[in-house]
This record gives sequence, C-alpha cells and structure tokens, in this order.
Amino acid sequence: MTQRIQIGAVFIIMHLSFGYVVYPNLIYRLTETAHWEIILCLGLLQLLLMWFYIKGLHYFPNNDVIDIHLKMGRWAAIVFLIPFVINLIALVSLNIRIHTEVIISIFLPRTPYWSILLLLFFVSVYTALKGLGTILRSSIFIFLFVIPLVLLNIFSSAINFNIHNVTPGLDLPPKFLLNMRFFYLLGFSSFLFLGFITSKTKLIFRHLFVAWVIVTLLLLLVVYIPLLVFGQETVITLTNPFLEAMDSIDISWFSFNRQAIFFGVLLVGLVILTNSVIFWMIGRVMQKVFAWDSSYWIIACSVIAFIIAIVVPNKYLLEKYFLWSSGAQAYFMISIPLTIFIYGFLSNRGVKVREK
Amino acid sequence: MRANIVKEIQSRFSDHYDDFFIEEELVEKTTIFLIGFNTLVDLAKSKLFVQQMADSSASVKALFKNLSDRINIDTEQLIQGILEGNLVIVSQDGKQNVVVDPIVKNLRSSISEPKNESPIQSSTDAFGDDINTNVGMIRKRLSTASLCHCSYQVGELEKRKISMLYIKGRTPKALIEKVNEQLKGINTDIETIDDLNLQFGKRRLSPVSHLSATELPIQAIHSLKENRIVLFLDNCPFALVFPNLIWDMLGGINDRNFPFILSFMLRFFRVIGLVATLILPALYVALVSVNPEVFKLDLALFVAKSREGIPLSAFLETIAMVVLVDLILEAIVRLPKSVGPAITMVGGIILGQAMVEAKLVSNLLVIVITAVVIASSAVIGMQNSLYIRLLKYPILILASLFGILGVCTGFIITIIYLASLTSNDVPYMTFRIKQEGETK
Amino acid sequence: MKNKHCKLFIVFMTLLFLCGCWDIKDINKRTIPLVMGISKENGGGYKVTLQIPVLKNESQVSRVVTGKGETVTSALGKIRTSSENALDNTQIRLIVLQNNVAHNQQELSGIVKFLMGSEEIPSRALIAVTDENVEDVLSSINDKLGVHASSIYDFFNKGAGWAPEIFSTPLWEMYRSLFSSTKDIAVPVIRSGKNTVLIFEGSEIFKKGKIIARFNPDESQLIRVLQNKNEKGKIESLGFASIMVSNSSIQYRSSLKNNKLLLVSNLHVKINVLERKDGVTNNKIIKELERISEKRFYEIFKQMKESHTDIFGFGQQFQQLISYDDLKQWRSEYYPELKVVFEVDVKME
Repeated sequence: MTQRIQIGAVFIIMHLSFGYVVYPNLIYRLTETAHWEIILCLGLLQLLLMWFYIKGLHYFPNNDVIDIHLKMGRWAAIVFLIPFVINLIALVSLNIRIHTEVIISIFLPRTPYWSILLLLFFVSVYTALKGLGTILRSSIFIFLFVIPLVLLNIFSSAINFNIHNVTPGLDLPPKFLLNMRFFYLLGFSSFLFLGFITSKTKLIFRHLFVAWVIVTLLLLLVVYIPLLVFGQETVITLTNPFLEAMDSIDISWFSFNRQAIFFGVLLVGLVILTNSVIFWMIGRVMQKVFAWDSSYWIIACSVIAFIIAIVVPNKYLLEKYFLWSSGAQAYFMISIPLTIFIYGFLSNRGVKVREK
Repeated sequence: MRANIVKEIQSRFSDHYDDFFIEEELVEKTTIFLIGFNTLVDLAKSKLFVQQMADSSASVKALFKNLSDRINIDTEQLIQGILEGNLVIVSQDGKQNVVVDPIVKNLRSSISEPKNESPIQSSTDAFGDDINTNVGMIRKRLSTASLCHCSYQVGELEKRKISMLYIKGRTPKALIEKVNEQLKGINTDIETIDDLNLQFGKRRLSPVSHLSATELPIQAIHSLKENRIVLFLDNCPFALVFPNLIWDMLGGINDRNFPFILSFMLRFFRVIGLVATLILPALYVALVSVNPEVFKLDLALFVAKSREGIPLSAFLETIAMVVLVDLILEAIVRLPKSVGPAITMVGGIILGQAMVEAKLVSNLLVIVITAVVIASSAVIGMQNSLYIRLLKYPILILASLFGILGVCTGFIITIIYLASLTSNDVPYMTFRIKQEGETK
Repeated sequence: MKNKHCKLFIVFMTLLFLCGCWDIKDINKRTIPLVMGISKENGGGYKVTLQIPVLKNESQVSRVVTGKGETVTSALGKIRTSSENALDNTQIRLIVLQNNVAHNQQELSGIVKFLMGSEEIPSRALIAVTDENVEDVLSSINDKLGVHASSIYDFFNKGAGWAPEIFSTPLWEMYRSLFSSTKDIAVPVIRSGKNTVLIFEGSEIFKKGKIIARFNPDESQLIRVLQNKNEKGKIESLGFASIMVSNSSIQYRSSLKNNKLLLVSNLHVKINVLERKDGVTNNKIIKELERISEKRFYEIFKQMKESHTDIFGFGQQFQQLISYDDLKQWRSEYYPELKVVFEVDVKME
C-alpha cells in the first residue's frame, strides 16, 4: 500500500514538474478559447496509452520494460531503448536548464545559471545514485512539502481572479488535434517510468487512475490561473504567465511579500525529484543492456547532460530544443507502450496456443 | 600440598592481582580452597554460607553438588568464572571443583528514576546497570511466552554480555537472523554504544545511529510490540532499540497517555521543532542577506534598522551565534549541577544582552537563535536532538550561498539523505515495520 | 564504491562553495527605494526619482534621489552608479507617473511593458498619476510630522471600509489593460497635500495606454461600484440628509437578441442614515439616492460611449455571447450599440 502511494506521489510530482513551466505557454498558443478541451484530450490520450502500457506489462509479471525488450532480443533492446536514453539525456538537461531560468528569475537574478545548474544536477544525481527506494521514500516527504505550497498558490491567487476573463465555451471542431504542438504537449506527460518499477511491484490501473485525475485537475488549474488573472490577450505576451500570476498576488495581512517565492520553492522540489527519476531510468537501462554498474552510467550521462545544459546559448533555442525533445518523447510514449502491448499479446497467445 | 589446579590458577593471578584470594577452609576434615576476587565476592558471608551448606551435606562431593550445577569443569572455565565474579571452590586433591554464585558485594545501584528522559504521567522506573535486572524488568512487564531472549558474549579483551529480545511471530525472521549473525560475528571489543552501532553496517560518517537508546522499560516494550528488536549491553543502563526510525524522535509511547488530540498536538509540535531547528538559522541568513524582497515592506525596514551598524555579515554572525549556543549547551551538560545555572545565566542572558548592546549581532538574530535552541530540544532523545543540531549546519552554509534556494535544496538534500539510510534493509524513514507473515 | 561517492561528494561540495556569491548583500547594505517617480525632461529624456527611507536619522524619514537618462533603464542605471549602497528595487510599492509621461500613449505603454518585464520591480507595485512635479510629491513626506517612510504607500493601503473613495491600480492590471479589448482602466490621480502627505484627486481613464478622461472622486467611485468592488463605508451627502453605504452589490444580465445588445444591471445598496433634516422620510432619501446614482451613471456612460471607452468592463459580460475573435472589435462595433438599463435598488437597514 505504501509503495502504491509513493508511486502515485512520484507520478504527480513528475507531471507537475513538466506542467508548470512550458506547458501553459504552449496551450495558450494552441488555442484562444476552450483551453480545457486540449487538457482533457491530452489527458484521455495519455490515459489510453497508460492503459495499453499497464496491460502490456501485466503480460510479464516481475519484469520491467527493459527485461521485456531484452526478451525480444538484445538488438531490440538496443534499437528501442538507446534512442530513448539519448532523448532522456537531452530531456533532463533541457528540463533542468528551463527550470533554472525560472528559478533564477525568482530567486537570484544576478547569479549565473551554471552555478544553479550545478547545484540542481548535484542533488538529482546524488538522489539517483541512492536508488529507487530512496527516490520513492523521499517522494512522499517532498510531496507533503510541495502540495501545501501548490494549494497555497492556488488559493491565494484566487483574490485576483476575474471569471469574465475566460471564455468557457466549446470549440468545435477541435482543430488543435492536427497541430504539431499538440504532440509536443503529449511529450510532457511522463508515465513511462511506471514500466521501470514493475519488477518489484505490480501496478494497478485503478490507483493510477486516481493519480491521473489529480494530475489533470492540477494541470487545469495551472493553465487557468494565469487566464483568470490576466485573460488570453495578455497571457500570450508574457514569458512566464504562471510566475507573473503568482507575482501579482498581494495579501496585506501576510507578512511575506512574494508568493512567487513559494512557487520557486515548489519548483525546486519538483525538478530535483523528476530529474533524479530520469537519471535513475537512464542508469537502469544502461546497466541492463550493457554490463557496467549503473552508478558509472548515471555519472557519465549526467556529465553529458550538464554540458548540453550549459552550452545552450539562449532562451529561444532552449525552448525550441526542449520542444523537439518532448516531441521525441511523445514518439516513445506512443511506441513503447504499444510495442509492449502487442508483444505481450502475441507471446501470450503463443503460450496459450502451445498449451492447447 | 596444594593441588596442581590451584597452583595453576594461582600462577595466573600471581602478580598485580592484589584483590585475588585463595582461602583454605576445613570442611568435614578435608581442606577446600575458596578462590575469587575479594572486590567482587563478600568473603566473610560466603564462608559462612559454605559452612552452613557443609553442615547439611554428607560429604564434600555432596556439598559441591548442593552448591552449584557447574561442577568439575576445566581450568579455563574456572578462570573465566573467577573473572566473572564467582566464587570457585576446589577440593584439596584438586579433583573436584565448583563455581558458586557467591554472596556478592553490592556494586549496583538499585532501580532508580530515569536520568536522561523525563516521562510525564507514566511509570518512572528506569533501566539499571545489571543486564539481568534489565531483562527481568522487561519480562515482568511483558509476560508472554513469545518474548524471546538470546544472549551473547562478545569481545576480544573482555567478554561483554549482550542480550537480544524480540517477540516471536512479530519481528520479521530475516531481521532477527541478520542481527543474530551480526552479533555473533563481533570480534572487536564493544566499549560504547557506537561500537555496537558500527557492527550493523557502515555508518561511520553518519550522524544517525542504527540504535535508538531509551531508559524507559515501557518505551522498550512498546518497541518490541512494534516488531522491533531490543538489545541490552551489560553495564549499560539503556535498552537499545534496533532499528532506529525517524518516528522515534517525534512520538513516544508516553504521549499516548493523553487523549489522541493532545498526543497529536505534541507530535505536531515536535515536527515543527525539527523543521525549525533545521531551517530557521538558514532562513535568517537567506532572508537577510540574499532574498530580502520576500519581506513585506514594514518588516524589511524593521530588519534593516535592526541590522544597522552591525559589522559582521549575516552569515558570520549567525554561524558565530549558532556555534556559541551549541558550546553553551555542551558546557551546561558537563558542569556539575551546582554550577550549571550560573553558567546558563552568564551564557544566555548576559552574553546575549552584551552582544546586542555592543551591536555585534542583531537582536532579531538573538530571538531566532533562542527559538532554535528551544525547538531543538523538543524532539525525543538526546542523540536525536544532537544530530538535528548537526544537520542544520550544511543547510546554513547552502543558504549563505544561494539564499532561499539554498534553504530549500538543503532541506531536500537532508530529506533525501535521511530517506537513503537503511539498517539491515529497514529504511530509517519508515513508519512501522511489517509484522512477520502479515500480507500487504 | 562508497568511497568513490564520498570523493565525488567532496569535489562537488568544493565546486559549490566556489560558486554562488553574486546575490549576497546584507539588507542593511542595500538601498531600498519605496516609491519610484517617472517624468519627462524638457529635452526629451526621462527623469527617474526614487524615494528612499533613511534608517539612521531620526529627524528625516526619507530622501529623494534622481537620475536622468535617455530611457528609464539608463536613468535607473545612473542612480545605481551614484548610489552609496547596492540599489535593490524589489521593494518598490508605488510608481508615480507625471502627467507629461502619462499623456503620451506610446511612451506610457513602453514604460509599463518595461516595468512589467523587469525582474526586480514587482508587478504588484501600484500606479498613480500626478499633475505636479514628481520630485515635489515624493519629497513632500519630509516636512510632515509623524509619518513613516512608507506613508506614501500606506495612503493607498488603508483597507476596505476605512476609506472607500481611494482605490489602487497595480501595475499588472495596467499592463493587462494594454492588451484587453473589453476593459479599460482607471488610475488614481494624486498630488502632495499641505498637512497630509497626499491628496486624492480622482482618476484618469486609460484606454490601451491613452488618457481619455478624468473623473472626480465621486465618479471614480461609481466606476468601482460597477466593477463589483464592495463600497462599504462610503458617505454620501444628499443635501437634506447624509447617509453611509453599508453594503453594495451588483448583478448583470446580458442578452443578445436580433443583434441588439442589452445589459441589465441591478445595483443593490444598503444604507444607514447618519443625519437628516426634520420631516425627511426614508422614502424620500431612497428616491433621491436612486435618482442621483442613475443620473451619475448615465452621464458617465454617455461620455464613455462617445470616446469608445469601456471603463465598466461591460464587454466582459458578453464573453459568453460573442465569439473571441469578434470581441476584439468590441469597442468599435458593439460597444456603441450597447444599451444598458441601470437600476438602483436602495434599502434602509
């Protein structure tokens, strides 16, 4: 039971981490009205893929994604998983870099970004080296410390809400489904890690569904808070709408001035845990596909990721690369669950046929 | 005249054992030798006891049989018996011997009140020095057949007694077996609790011990019921609970003597105390020197005014005050009770006042430091209070570099570090240990 | 393995100590301005004025520092260079614009965009307009007795129910109004007072950064009432009686039939009668108050309609009925056609 809660916490934390920063901007650019449609469509698509994924994993009890790929053959593992790992490295570095930009603008406007990158990388790698148990256990505590801040942010921003700023109507036909950005957005979902922990725990779709509902609600709030404060026309002119929405809050009785600080604190918690999970996934794949100890792989990959994060010259390119890598992530998000599901389905039928 | 065996024993203890004695005694017309240490054995009373026993026994052989079960054993065991403080009796020809539990000199203090903990609304018995008394105290309070007791004698120079207690059917078998192996495998001297702690896996640089020490029998029993193992070390007035969990520092069984809502409040305050100790000094540095924009306007002006003219930087003054306060805390513990309060006066009030008056540190900092000292004492157990006092330093340093970002990464690193600790695969940050055989 | 982790840990820790020293500055080593004034020089450059609290001196609460430059940034940069301590703009709570800046639409929107984009200056800072010299307004605090350095800001922050006439407009709302197609904004006008630090003079109405009209305090208050801000404590004098508003609320019903826009708004006001002349009935007071309010509204509304300015934010009420793209033409196409039925319902407590 405890482990299920921990997995749920990691699931929510990872989604929030990707959801807070670039996600709202993309949605504002995709549509001008009825933002909830996109979020729900994305959520349902994700739920469908998750269902395939878990169904596929259930065909192979006590095996994780890597084991299943190794069963298909070593070449399959290399062909499917190594590009995945490369993309994860890119994703992790760009993700940390994007968060660093936000964190700098909240906390330390004069500090160069590499020093904060170093700090965040150090903590995430340290956590990843300590292994899954540590990640899961600390996730509960980080969750307990992040969620009150999320709620505080949401409730305190309510004083600036103006319901008339958003148009709730339905937007038909859903043109955004054909937009490339929609698939970039899909890449922001991060349920693939679920397949890496199944060697010990069996996943139950029902529990994950609860986590999915929470995530979708939180994402709706993340998108709608800036909208309710500023309105669509203004929101697209801002670089960090959520941050600005937090900054606009002024509660006279509260002895702290900047609500944005709390937002920054929760971002730090989210980004550290998310990246340590990704590093751990990288280490896991490399250890199982090639021989070495996973900690060497984690350190080596983190150094590469750190270098990538440092050399990206400006915000514009950063966002562009990040979208590319999340688009690639979306590809893996579709291909890996389906591969596993089909392979599991076929091999299961093979077993049944042989039994007959 | 004397038998070989007596001579052998005598030769072992010939020099520099001035408290060693060999007394000849005439019983039933045969001579017997009483051997032992007169610092451990009350000789006069023991002699009387042997005489009385001899009067009711037919022969020397019968006497020996009446005295003890450990008769006619080899020399090494006899020597060991002597060292343990027993009385060894050897017959004239040296063919018969016996190790007798003597009438001992009373070297132990009786059961007293706890010195390091102060339970409220509970039994005030505390463990003493004698290992058997301690185990007895547990047995008396927990009279069940499933309470198991294994004893070990380990060490190189001296053999120290260690007892392991657990409840059969509750404590996981794997855990018991592992601890059993680890205790059997000890080949160094166990002098302190930390020596024992190191036997459970490498944690040389870690401030968190594998063992949590308690003086209170009820707490030890509660730990047993929570599927944990309790260890006793002889001459050590503590029950050592294995494994140590973070919950030990936040909630004791004594809290549950109050209604639930009150005990919840107590625990909640301990959590606040824990968090405050860790981050309050760091938060002060971060807010004053890196992120003052967090303050509301009036507060910012107030803080700026209170720091006006102070030559030290915020980090320096904080670290100086924190170290000073930790020194005072340590000094008070070491001092005799009669001098302690005086030092508290000088240290706490006069020094703090003087520093503020001299404008060396800001008075806001003095308030913060006082709060931290009080908060750090809110957790249960001296060792826990010490280790959280240590953990605040890394956060303080990070805060001085990165401000609020540093405070929160420092806090997260601390959480992750604590979450990474395990003792024999039981994580430190778990709330309870699963009962053996219990399903998920 | 464990040992290697240890070594890595030490290496990273030393690296961490090497970095991160840029933002460290004790609060007493920072200069913390509270109010920023922006005005235009005759030559074309900007002049930025900062009001900075003085902590050491008991007799003087604050001082005023100015800097001139081609842009606001360069003027700030000049102050930064000449300042004794590090300049920390994060506590700025009020930005006063002199009228020569406020009247230039392009420059004003440029300044607002700059202030909003600046990481240091908080977007919560309030905006006000003055007709006087900004420097005089900011330094007027020094010859008043018993005031704090933060008094200028406190002026706007008295709290609901204490001084209902005064309202405040934060920077982010101003920024939002630059882009909004359905709502315009009122900014308070102030000047330095004789005995008190500031005097409230009414409000300027901005449409996308352009000044359209100026209203006196009574009229600005009506605008606030229509924006559904509670106006508790407002005292109104009717000539034969004076009353205090104890509660107010407004409801809108918007409809679009046969391309005709209709908005019905019901204002519910609860009042207390403070004093009255002999023989004045409750009914008369209610009638008179309703008459005055409605008259006041229709006057303002007519004036606003002429200048295509939707200060009440009526366009927001039609979000449901008119599509997003059409709403962009709200001011020019729909607003002039809008018919508003304004009903006031006064109740005695």
